[in-house]
Amino acid sequence: MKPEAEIRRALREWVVSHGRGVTEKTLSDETPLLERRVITSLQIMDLILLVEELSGKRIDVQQLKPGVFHNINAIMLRFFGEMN
Amino acid sequence: MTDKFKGTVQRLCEASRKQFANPYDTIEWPDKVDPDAWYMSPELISLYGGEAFAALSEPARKRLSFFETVNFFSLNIHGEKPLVEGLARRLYTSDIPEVSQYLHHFLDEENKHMVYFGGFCQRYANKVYADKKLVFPREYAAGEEELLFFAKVMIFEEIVDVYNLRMAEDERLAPIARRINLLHHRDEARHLVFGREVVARLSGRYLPEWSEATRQGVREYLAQYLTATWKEYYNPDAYQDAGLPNVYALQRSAWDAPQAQAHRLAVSQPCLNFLRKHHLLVDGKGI
Repeated sequence: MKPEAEIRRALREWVVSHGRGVTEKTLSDETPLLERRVITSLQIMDLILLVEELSGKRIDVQQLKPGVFHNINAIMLRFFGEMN
Repeated sequence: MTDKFKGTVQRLCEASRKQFANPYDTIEWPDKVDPDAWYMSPELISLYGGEAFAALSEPARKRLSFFETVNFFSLNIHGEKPLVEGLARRLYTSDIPEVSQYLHHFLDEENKHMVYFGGFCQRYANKVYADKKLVFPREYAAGEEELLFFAKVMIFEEIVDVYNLRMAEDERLAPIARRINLLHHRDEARHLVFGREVVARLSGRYLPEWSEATRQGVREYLAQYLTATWKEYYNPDAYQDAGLPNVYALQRSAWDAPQAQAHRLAVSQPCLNFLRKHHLLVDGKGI
């Protein structure tokens, strides 16, 4: 698996390039992604593919609980938890 | 408008009754798939026209065509499950009684489609690819959820139907693949007529009532839905099953390829024109 800093950077880059109303400077790992409509539920499918690629594991979407995509910290904790 | 709509719905009901099918005797299922056959038209394979596709041998292309068809049938199942739920919720809620009569046919036919698609995937691939879409609850303006439901159904089915029709007529394909695509297209032709009528009625009724922010939100949502619908045609899991390497990078490069963008635009054009005509899409967005 890639180093934690590299994974966080990849997630931030994805959010900035696919999201709305954030830049590299304004996006933090605590920025609420869905509540602030930075990204929408329809974009989660793409984000899931990125997380699968970074983690090397398939994600069972049916098992996901609300809040796992709340912000970058939540994504790190749920899908890369062993690093924290 | 209402009389014209009622007449259309009555004609659709009559056509559904005439073509009523038993899903358990309309298909002869071969014991196994033929590895030398095509299951998806090569030109419809998501990698078609790119370097990765050019580098494959013909047997490898045929193997990919099989898994792309498993993906195509899987995404149809995942599209039809919420459709069936939504249609069932709308039974006997319309002020036009004929609508519920047609919804019974719509529900019946969508359930049969899933029997066909699931039958193929389970028999020959022993799997249905997972659905990676997530839906979060949210608040809607009056009529917004209704319009979005039928507009999403229409977008999904219009794209699928282009694939169904082309593959139903493609003599290169294995008979079982042609047959399933044909059976789906026969019913979808009626569903598309119904979908367009309902979306036109709902947009005409609600768009003038909504705030500009709501109208804009609906347009942006539908553009994103169109993109998300197309993204499902580019599945790294199918690439992996076909034995291809670096499947996530392959998915991105296939999506970004100019020929793939041109393909998506060409297939979506009638749907895009309809959405624009009814002020449901922002120009330049959605692919």
